[in-house]
This record gives sequence, C-alpha cells and structure tokens, in this order.
Amino acid sequence: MSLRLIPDNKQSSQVSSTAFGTPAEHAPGLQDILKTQEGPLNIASKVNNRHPLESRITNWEQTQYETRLETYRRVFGAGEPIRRTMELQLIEATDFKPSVLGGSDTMHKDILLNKDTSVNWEDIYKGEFESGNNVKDFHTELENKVGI
Amino acid sequence: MNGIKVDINHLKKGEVNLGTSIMAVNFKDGVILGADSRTTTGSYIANRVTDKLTQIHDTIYCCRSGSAADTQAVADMVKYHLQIYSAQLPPNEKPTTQIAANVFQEICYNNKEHLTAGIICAGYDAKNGGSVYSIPIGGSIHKQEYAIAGSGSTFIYGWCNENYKPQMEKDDCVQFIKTALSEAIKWDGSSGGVIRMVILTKSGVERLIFYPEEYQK
Repeated sequence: MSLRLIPDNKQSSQVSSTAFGTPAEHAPGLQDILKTQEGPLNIASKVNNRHPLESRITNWEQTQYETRLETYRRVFGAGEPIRRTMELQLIEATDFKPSVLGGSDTMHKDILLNKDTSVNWEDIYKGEFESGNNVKDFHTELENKVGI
Repeated sequence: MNGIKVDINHLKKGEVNLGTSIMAVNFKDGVILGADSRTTTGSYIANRVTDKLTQIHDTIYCCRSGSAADTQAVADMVKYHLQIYSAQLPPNEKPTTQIAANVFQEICYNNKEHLTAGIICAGYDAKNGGSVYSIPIGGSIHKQEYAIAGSGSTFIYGWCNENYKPQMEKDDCVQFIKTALSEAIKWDGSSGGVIRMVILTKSGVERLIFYPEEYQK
C-alpha cells in the first residue's frame, strides 16, 4: 500500500459489458434496462471522451481516506484501519431506510468520518448521480440488502 | 481506441510557480536552511516575500521548490503524518529527520505523474545531530552534507563546491548561505526578494531575514 495524494486516472483499456450497471437476471450479459428505465446503455460514451479531471474529482475523497488509513496502519498497526472500516460497515449493515424515502440518516457516518461539525456542499446537494429521480427503486434495494 | 491525451503541462500552466533558489547546510551545531522569496506566475511576481521554509515538526523544516500548490499539499501531508507518528512516541522523544525525509520521498515517488515538487528536508534531532536530505523531482532521496536546489541553484554549484567547509561555525555558515543565495538571485530571473534562513539546533529554531540592501553586492 502506498501513500497517494492524488487519485489515479482510471482509464480502462477494456471493460466488461456489465461494468456500468447491474446485470439483468433475464439477460445476464446486459444491464437491466427495465429497472433503470434509461434505455440501452452506450458503453463507448462511458469510456471515451471523459473529462481529464473527472476521475480525479470522483475518486478524491476515497483516495484521501485510504491514505489516512494507510498512515494509521503504519503508525498504530494493522488493527487500526481494520477497526475503522469495520465500524463504518457496521452502520451500513444495520441502518436501512429506502432511498425513495430519502435514504438513511447520516449522523453515525458523519461522526465516524469527523464531518459532524462541518457543513459542505455535499450536505446541501445530497447524493451524487443517484439522487432525486435517479434513486434505486425500493425492491432492488431491499433485494440487495437482504441478499436475494 | 487511442485513449485520452492529457497534456499535464497544460493543466499546470497558470499555476503559481516557485522558481527558486533554496539550500540547506550542515554546520557544527545543526543545520541552516535558506531560501529566496519570489513566487512567479509566468513573468508576474505573485508574491515577493514568500516563505519557502515550511515547518514539518519542532526542529524539522523543509525548503520547497517547483509548483507552489503541489509542495504545499505534500508538506501538509508530511506534517500531518509526523504529528500522528509523534503521538505514539514515548514522552519527550521527537521524530528524526530521516523519517520526515522518507515520508516526503514516498509521497513524491508514488504520486510522481501528478506532482512537480523538489524538496530539501533538513532538521536537527538529538540522535543524529543535523541532517540534510534532498528529494528532487521524481522522488529519489539523497542524504548530503549540504544541498542546493531550485532554478537558481544551477548557477552556484561551482562556487558552493569550492567554498563549503564541513563543521563550520554558525556565523560562517550564515555567511556562506547568504553569499550563495545572493549569487543565485543575481543570475536567476525567477529568484529574488529577501533571503530567509532558519537555524535548527538543539536550542530550537531561529529565523533570520536579509533584505536586498544587505546582501546585494
């Protein structure tokens, strides 16, 4: 593991046809057009001609977080990042409120990520690409959660 | 598919540049770091009194050259890392300069495609006395008796080589750095302003400043 400051440019040289959406049960080689209601997926548009800064911005928080965990691993031992990741996963596993009803409250996550005393644009404009009209529907979510 | 051609230099054009003369020298009681104070955006001097000597820990400092944003981000990261590291040291024990320099090296090497940062990391610790580490662009690490870096340093390699003496007294070392940087500033367009120095010894930190009237010959 290394200390990265800046996210890698994740320009893939090959992609699977199901890399940009969950595969449909009835057509395992394609994404589920019925569920997403967006029509057939144009994979070329998802891979080519992206803005040079796109991957840097989307992966920024994740990269900083991983670097911080790597620092803790080096100074305090392997248990420290494992414990922190476990605590975050605990919240995800125990909280459930459907996205169509607004998604679960972020209080516990904020406290763990030390964001409870700050207000940023992400608190005003909640959610990224999956928000507003684009939220997952309740059935898909519950199926994923329960593991069907 | 050809992939995306991203011109990294273009992304960095207009970025504020630390065209610079920086150096750090070992002397009898510790180390002295010195730097000019000019930051440029192209030919415009964005800041003529920049402080390029950044504190990383109590008696560990670094000189920054290259892109101002990149070096500030890296120095922040190293300072943060050292704060966490010193939290788990026994009371009254301080981290060594070697640790700081190697964290610099790791960050500069692992992010080398995105960074333009040339750093000189120098400090005083009780175990090793004064030490100077040079981390040029690319992320290699070199432990040296004295190090010079930045665009202005190219003009003073010969002079420094002739006039450096190991284990100098403090005043001699201050004079050595003052003359070296004054020559670098004289010949390099991207260096100028005041000469800042930081003296690191077992008694702590001392900051000096020399104005053009004093150092210009």
